[in-house]
Amino acid sequence: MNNPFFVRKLFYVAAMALLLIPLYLLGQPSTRKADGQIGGGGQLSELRDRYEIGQADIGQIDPASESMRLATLGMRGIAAAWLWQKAEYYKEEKFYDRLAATLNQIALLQPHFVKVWESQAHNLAYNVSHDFDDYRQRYAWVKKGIDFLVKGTEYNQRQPILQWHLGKYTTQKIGRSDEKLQFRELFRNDTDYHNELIADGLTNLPSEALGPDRKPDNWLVGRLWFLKAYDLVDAGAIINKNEVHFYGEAPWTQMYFAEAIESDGVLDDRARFAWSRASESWREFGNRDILTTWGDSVKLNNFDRLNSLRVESITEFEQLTTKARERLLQEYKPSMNESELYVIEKPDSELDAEQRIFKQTTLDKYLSNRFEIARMLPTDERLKALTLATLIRETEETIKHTDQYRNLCNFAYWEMRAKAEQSPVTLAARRQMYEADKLIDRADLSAATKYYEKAWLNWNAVFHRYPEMMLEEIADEVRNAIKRYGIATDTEFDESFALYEFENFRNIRDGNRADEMNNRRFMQMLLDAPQWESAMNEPALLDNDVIPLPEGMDPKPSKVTKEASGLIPVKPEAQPSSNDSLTTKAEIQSSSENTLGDDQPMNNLEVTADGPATVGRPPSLQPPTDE
Amino acid sequence: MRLEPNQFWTFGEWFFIHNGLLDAFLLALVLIALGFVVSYLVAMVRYGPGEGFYVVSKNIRDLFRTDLPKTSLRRIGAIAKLAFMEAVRRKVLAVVAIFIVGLMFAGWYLDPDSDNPARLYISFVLASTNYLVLLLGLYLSTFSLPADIKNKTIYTITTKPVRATEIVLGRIAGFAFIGTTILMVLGVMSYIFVVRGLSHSHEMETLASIDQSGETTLEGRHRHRYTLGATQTDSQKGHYHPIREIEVNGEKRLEVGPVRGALEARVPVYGELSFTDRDGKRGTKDVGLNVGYISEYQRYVAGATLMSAIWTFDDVTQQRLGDQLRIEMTLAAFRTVKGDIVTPVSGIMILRNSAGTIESDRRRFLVREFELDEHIIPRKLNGFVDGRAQEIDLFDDLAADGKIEVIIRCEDTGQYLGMSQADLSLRAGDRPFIYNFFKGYVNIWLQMVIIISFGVMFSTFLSGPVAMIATMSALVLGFFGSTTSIYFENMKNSGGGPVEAFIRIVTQKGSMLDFDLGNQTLETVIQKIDYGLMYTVQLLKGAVPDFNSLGASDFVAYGVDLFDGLLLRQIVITFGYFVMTTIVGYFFLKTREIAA
Repeated sequence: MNNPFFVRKLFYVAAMALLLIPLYLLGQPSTRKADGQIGGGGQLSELRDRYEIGQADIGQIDPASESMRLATLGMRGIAAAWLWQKAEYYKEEKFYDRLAATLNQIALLQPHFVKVWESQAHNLAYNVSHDFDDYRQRYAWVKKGIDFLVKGTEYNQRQPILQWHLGKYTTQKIGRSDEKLQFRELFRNDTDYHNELIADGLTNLPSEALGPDRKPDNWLVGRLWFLKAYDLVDAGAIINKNEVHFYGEAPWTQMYFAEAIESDGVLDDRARFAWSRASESWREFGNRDILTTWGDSVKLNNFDRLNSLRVESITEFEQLTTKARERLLQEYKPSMNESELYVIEKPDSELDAEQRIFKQTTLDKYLSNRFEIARMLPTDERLKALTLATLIRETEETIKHTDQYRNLCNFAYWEMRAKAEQSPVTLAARRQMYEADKLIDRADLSAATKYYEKAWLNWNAVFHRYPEMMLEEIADEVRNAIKRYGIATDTEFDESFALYEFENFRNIRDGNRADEMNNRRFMQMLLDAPQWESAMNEPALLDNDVIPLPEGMDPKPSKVTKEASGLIPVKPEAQPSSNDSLTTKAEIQSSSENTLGDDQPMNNLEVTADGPATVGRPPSLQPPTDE
Repeated sequence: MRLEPNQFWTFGEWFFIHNGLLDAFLLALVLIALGFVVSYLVAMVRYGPGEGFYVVSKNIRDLFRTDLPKTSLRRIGAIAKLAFMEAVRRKVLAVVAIFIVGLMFAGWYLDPDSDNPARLYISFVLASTNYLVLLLGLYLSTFSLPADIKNKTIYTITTKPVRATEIVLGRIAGFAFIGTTILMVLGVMSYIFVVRGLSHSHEMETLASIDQSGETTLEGRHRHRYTLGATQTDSQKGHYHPIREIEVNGEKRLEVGPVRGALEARVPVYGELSFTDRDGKRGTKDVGLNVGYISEYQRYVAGATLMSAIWTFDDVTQQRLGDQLRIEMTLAAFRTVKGDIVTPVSGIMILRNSAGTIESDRRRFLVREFELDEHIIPRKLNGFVDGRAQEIDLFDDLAADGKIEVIIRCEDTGQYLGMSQADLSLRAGDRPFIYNFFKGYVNIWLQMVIIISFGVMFSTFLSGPVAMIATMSALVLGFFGSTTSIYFENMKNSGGGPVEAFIRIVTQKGSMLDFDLGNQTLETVIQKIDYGLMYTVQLLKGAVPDFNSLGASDFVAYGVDLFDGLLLRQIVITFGYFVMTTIVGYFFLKTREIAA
């Protein structure tokens, strides 16, 4: 023991042994027990198991990734930072093949850093692809971005955000870019890529993502990715995203798919079916429980039901508390001003509209506290009134939350849109406009004009049934078509034009000028619009139908009178028997001969050599001679 | 492929016009002066200022009087042999094993979706060989001499009639020899890896009756298209396949041949690039437009104007280029409006003689980005002589004096075409790929020799680990020196030098915040120290070779024959560093009096 070197060595060995104890307690690996459960192990192992952040829990264990991380000898951060810098340099200098290779290395180094996958996939699919002049090369780089994300999902199997992005890229980047026509076409025919996607986990691609040509459509494929993300969340994975936007994507995608095939010229029952699926999908979305930021759950479809419940509860409450309310009102009277007293004391029948509104406001002001009113009731009625007051307050709260979340996703519009688009009138209007646009491109003005004029009549009917559509994208398409029509036929759009009111409304609205009359007219149209369900199967003016003109009016090839459009009242004798004053005469005429139901194919009207059958047509609607 | 302006210089241009000789001379002076000063400092510490000066002066005299003239190749060879054996004993051949393991698992790290696998594979093998061999050189050269000195085994040599020059040269030669042996093995394995890695075959899969075109089977995440009657498929992932007709059981069939075009060594002829303004006038300030990219490498010409990019080529002869002109372009397109999405941006190409009196028809083309776009110009073509339309001859009319101009304009309004000098070249045939591959390895060898020379030099006066750090610093400076220049220039705006940056890290102050320590004097002192440190780094950077400019892997990867002039330049630079480091190493060794 006199040898100091020996003593020092002993000390070192002892110190190492001591240090091994905490290391053992911390780092002991978990073991498989007799019952097959994995557990035990050191502190770190237990934490890993508890929070499910072990390698095997997070995603696939890749030897390449593991060995690369080990090879950096603990300097993974430095290596990753250096590679990021290199990647940025390659991007700036347009060394895109090296960029892609470097991104792969970064991903191997940081396989569970989700932001790496998100941002670099975006880099590839959006920033890099944009730099290529050839759209086919652009498409290839969009695919590289998608592939990068797919790889990310393999390493991070419980990160629904990656699947959600996959859905976004597949739908939005391919389906909404300037080159969407080309991209969609390339995607449809990219059989090898479809096979890769199937191998990557989209096993239901061949059955659930086929477009009208029986080839995979990017919108429907994207929808499958969204559904995968939903499955993950339903299985317990967490996503930090507004639930409306998260769960709304799949039904939206269904709508965009229907829109896209219509843009491609599929304007028949296939489009109608697509919209009906979209409608169904939207309904399911409306029935889903959405967690709000207030902490409660709402169902977007419940809005109307909640409003009815509110009204019923208020009525019941008011019936129950009539006397108490009157008593309370009497108590408040000394503090009321003259105008308030005036309206309160008069019956509704003696008040004009403005005064009625003021009366309601006054009542709300003094009788808003339902609990105060309930407490004034005798004991036997008080509990019921308090229960009702509580129910009303909670219902109003839920209505407010539901309404806000509905507004977030424009719920009512899409609900209406999906239904409107299934209507034969809308389909006919779209098809006629599409055909007319094609004919214009072929410089066949005469034929195009005929299609356009029928389209205007149908659009007019559509806008009267679904006035909200006058504010949306489709209305812009109609306006563009009107412009083309105007240039082609050299027509000035006066009041005789079928879509005169629509044009007038949009001109004022787009000019950002407040026009009370215009707004009122729009509101009136909203009120007068028939219920969607019944409007959906209203008949349309079909391609072979002849545009009807009132008796005595000279048929002009490029002009449609206002009477014909149904926008101004027609003479009583010319008015066919219809309850819908807003439907055009053309539709009435058509409906008198054919009613196109859900299952009835279009274009199968009986057509004679002189035009469509005219049996049963009112005298004033006899077709003009075919010019 | 990206080429810097200096890479276009011929050896003569570099050596005589662009100060290659002068730079070498100045560098020699700097290194020798540095060696002298350090030697003197060492000697001064050991013997005092007067005696130290005497020792160093004596060493200089010895170098020229005895050591250099009497250096024996035989003794150098003997020491080199010892160094070689020592290296083998230190199990440096393990490097080969590491490389084999690397190749075996390379597939894990190489992007299977790459647009050009050949480029990726070649870059990978060259880069991994380069790093491995440089690390090997570093390890070998820095530890050997210090270990000998420490173990006193050096005395078994110095007691023999061996000169310091011979010790330094012998070590360098010995390590270079083992390095070369290993490099050769790695080179052969790399070549096999690349060739085998790229080898694949397709079968015919479909043939449409409408346009008589079809597709091959899917292989390596790609398939090719072909047309009946064509001799080859289209190009995908940087290669194509020949199509040949074979007879099986008396029945004629089409067969897809092996990979072609992936491994090549094109011999390009580059011209001088100049630009005109929008009116077609050439001025000294016309250098093309910047369309907003950070990178200034490519400059742009505006569409639907007379703005032109003009390449002037010398020595355009039939003997050099063959019967026709093969123009290869890698132009870029930039759109300010999407325009026609389907059709690429179009440009026109005009060939003109140097006097401007004869020019070809405008030849319209559609730009093909990020790939080699080849245009064949036949010997006879339509054109204009003094404004009159007539048939012209490529060599007899257009390039009668051996010079020809190629003019590129962009045709589309609102669109731009981008180019650099290297983006248009004439193809003067091909050389065997294996030869270019070999040149790439010669290039790595040169870098290895430099590192070994530096390592041996440092090991003559530093201990092993310190010598390794010093050599590694030289290596890092050689690779990232250009980056330090940027930091030096932007020091004020990018968070200061090393000391300031360290303080910022500790105090968690971003580079955009004021460096406010509450003491102006302290701040100034820190900034001065930083400036001094960065200035020193800048000076040292000048003394080490720029390894990036010594690299040639891009040439091999992009299928361009490494210019002989450039290789020669690199050989001369390497030789220069070898000589300088040997002399400095000699001084240090002599000063230590081990080999006196």
